[in-house]
Amino acid sequence: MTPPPEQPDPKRPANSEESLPGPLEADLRQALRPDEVDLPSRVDERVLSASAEHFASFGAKDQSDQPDRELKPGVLAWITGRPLTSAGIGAALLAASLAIALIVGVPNSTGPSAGRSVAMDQALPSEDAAAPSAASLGADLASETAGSMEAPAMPERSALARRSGARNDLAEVESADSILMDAPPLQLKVAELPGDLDGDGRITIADALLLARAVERNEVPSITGLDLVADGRLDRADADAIARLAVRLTPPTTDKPNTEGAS
Amino acid sequence: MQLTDLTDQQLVDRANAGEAAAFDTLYQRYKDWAFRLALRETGRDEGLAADAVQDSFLYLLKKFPGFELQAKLTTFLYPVVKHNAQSADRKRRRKTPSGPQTDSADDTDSEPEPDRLDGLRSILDTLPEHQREVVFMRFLDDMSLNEIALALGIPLGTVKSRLHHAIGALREEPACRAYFDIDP
Repeated sequence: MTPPPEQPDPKRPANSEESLPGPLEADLRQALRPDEVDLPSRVDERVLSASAEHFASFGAKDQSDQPDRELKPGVLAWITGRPLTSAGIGAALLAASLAIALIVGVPNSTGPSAGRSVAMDQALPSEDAAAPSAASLGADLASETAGSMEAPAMPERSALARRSGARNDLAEVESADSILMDAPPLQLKVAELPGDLDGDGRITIADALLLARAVERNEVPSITGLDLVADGRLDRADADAIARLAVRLTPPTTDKPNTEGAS
Repeated sequence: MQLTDLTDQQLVDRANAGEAAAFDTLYQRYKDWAFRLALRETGRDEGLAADAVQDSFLYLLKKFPGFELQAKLTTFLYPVVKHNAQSADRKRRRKTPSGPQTDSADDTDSEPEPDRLDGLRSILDTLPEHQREVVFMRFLDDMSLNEIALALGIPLGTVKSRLHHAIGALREEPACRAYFDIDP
């Protein structure tokens, strides 16, 4: 049988080394390729029925998948398909805290918070002392969770929260703002708990935030007990280490120094 | 325009869009080609060859939707049919070890054939397997050199080399010299 009409015979040079003489090729075909073959009808039935089933299911599946593809495309579908785990939540909190440290570390010269000092700034000798007591700050910080501290003291964030109508979130944002903006000078001393900048007895994301801002402004004093990565200086790595400690599931204790975030 | 008038690429596109009739047309177009190849690979065992063809097209069916025709469909089907046929043939041989099979078609046709064709088959049997396969693909399956290279996964130069040596061997055969206008 000749090849299908839409599949033209390949170009064969008539007298090249890759061609056979016509009579030899004809005999070869006659000897080895019978013109008529009879494929059993059971094969036809099996293949064609499988084809009908396959394409019917393909069409049905395609239609059923369509709304899902519209609602959950790409990465969103992957994310929503994952179960929440404590490790995942911790990683998300860590990423959020680091992002906050970066955002808040940029000086904000406009908006309602312009010109206002924040907690770490007030630790400097030049700052005035017109501020709430350290005890009240510690209590406030202790009452805050990492989630509430995720909202930085940025007017844009507050405005966004108001527009979205998230009143509870807005209250938390404003609370965090007040803590950071109105914090008294920190009593930076040898901390009983490494990483506890504000001396409230806990390592919270606020501690990481304070150190990150100080690092950004190159205003980090030499304080023992904060160099968690033990490299002889206070820098971004120490802030990251404190952030990791703050969002971990088991609360740190004051008994033994923790250098978990050194790597 | 009827489906039979469409090219393979057009049929593949339609099958990818969910048109079962397009796949059926492809099957009708290539089932005899595949059956001949399977017959050759199974020593003309029609049952095994039919099973190989069925498995091959069911394999192709599972490629839809999303199948991309990068060359001629025979280039895709050749290694599939060959693999299925040889696999079935090996199973058959394991079950019936007392009945060795030959590669060529020399055991089923009831009609007496000319000695010339028998001699030609014998000559082809003397070729190394890799050379004989290229000859069959080229002159029986009507595949171009590029298609052979793609189907076998070997360089084009290797295909040319194998074909060159195979034809050279045929040229040296006394029974084939007349075909090449060479005095015996």
